[in-house]
Amino acid sequence: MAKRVLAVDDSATVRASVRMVLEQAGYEVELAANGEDALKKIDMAAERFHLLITDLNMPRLDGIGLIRAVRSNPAYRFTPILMLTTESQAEKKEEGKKAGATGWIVKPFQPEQLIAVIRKVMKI
Amino acid sequence: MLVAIACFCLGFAAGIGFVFLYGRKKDEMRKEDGSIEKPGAPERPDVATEEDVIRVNPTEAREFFTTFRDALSLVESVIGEAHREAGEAGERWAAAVGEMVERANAGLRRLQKTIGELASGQETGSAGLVDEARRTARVLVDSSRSAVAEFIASGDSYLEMMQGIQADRFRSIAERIRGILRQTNLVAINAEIEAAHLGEMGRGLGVIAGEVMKLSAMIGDSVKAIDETAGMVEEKLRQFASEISAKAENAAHLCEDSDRLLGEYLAELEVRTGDIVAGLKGSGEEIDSILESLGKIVDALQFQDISYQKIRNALSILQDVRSELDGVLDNLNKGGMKAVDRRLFEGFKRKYTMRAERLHHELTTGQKCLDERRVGRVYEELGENVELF
Repeated sequence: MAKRVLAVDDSATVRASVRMVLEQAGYEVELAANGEDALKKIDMAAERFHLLITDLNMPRLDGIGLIRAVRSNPAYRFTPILMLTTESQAEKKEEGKKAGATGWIVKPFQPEQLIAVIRKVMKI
Repeated sequence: MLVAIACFCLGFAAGIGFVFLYGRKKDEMRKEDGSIEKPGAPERPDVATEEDVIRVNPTEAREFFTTFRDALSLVESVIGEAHREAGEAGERWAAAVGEMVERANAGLRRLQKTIGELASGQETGSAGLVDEARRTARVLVDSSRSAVAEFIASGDSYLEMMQGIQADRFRSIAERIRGILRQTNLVAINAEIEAAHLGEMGRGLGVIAGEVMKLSAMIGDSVKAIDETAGMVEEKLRQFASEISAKAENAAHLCEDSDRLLGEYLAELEVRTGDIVAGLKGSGEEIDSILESLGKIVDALQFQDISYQKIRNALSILQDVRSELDGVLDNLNKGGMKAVDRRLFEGFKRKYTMRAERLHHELTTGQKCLDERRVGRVYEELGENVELF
């Protein structure tokens, strides 16, 4: 069964990019435009997501807020969460790590690179 | 949008420059004349009066315009880079999409050609593969048929041999016994005749002749039993031979059926394999090219997003500058000068979301802005832009 991934980004082009790359690699992809939208998708999902990929700067609820909310859900305590952002400041990365992010990818990324990171954090 | 931003900045710069130069001109006139010329009522109430302009501290004004110029330089460099990257991203996007469409069309054309060839029966692309399969299958069928034929022939010869051995053996035994029987009968008859000639003296011989006759009758019964047994054995052998022949014939029929079915299967396989092979041949290259295009599209899409973010952040900074300038102009209009210093740039730092923006800030203002310390672990195979916590 295909692994389920929730990709969160306010940019339509990034959402399209992530979807293309992941679906090409055989993943089942769900998209959300911001943190609030993502939390709704998680609540409504019939099956748990195996991985979350989120941007940092988003309207309504940003990536850090989303990670904090997701980590408070016992079902997602150990789910890998990757930050995919243009932000590379150490301060932000520390904030992300403290919130519960599994990894930090600074855009732009290469398709095969994203897949390699996912396989590593999902241990597959 | 960038043109609008540039016009906006130039408009502000021209407006502020006009006020400054106007003030300087008036200041110079006063020095030359030694007196102050009272101007008439201002045509626009929001334009500073001569007295207001005179009260402007030239040092503060210079500091203001220096800061303003630096801010504009910073914004100009960021927007200039964003403009260039957005243009490049657009070109890459257009090229990638165009390439993808072209390759998809090439794949479609090839598919159409393949369908046409298949429809007209001209396709020979898979002939080699199918012919090889057919040859292999034919060898197997022929070998099977040959094996069945050999089995039938071997069975026949075995039966003939067995029948011959059994019949000869029984016939030989029966004939030998019949010979003994004839001899015994002859001996018995002769003994009986001799016994009759001898009269009383031949009585013992007559008894012997009687016993020999009994023995002859027993031998006759035995011969009959042997004949019956031989007949039964021959019958059993005939049945066995018949069954073997029937089975062999059945095997031969099955072999023929297999041959026919295999032929039909191969014919079907030829059509289907030809279809698939021809469809994939060449189309595979197109599919590979489309997959290569995927990476280019992903790259272009991301750079478009990065450029968009830079423009958005630059706009936010421009808005801060405009707000600051509004305050300064308001004060200028009231005859004062709001102090503007380089602390204005501190607020910009919160606007940045990427490395390039912070680098521009450092280069323009000399203020430390970039902190790229590693927080997680970097894996060589994953790339420098990835850290795992």
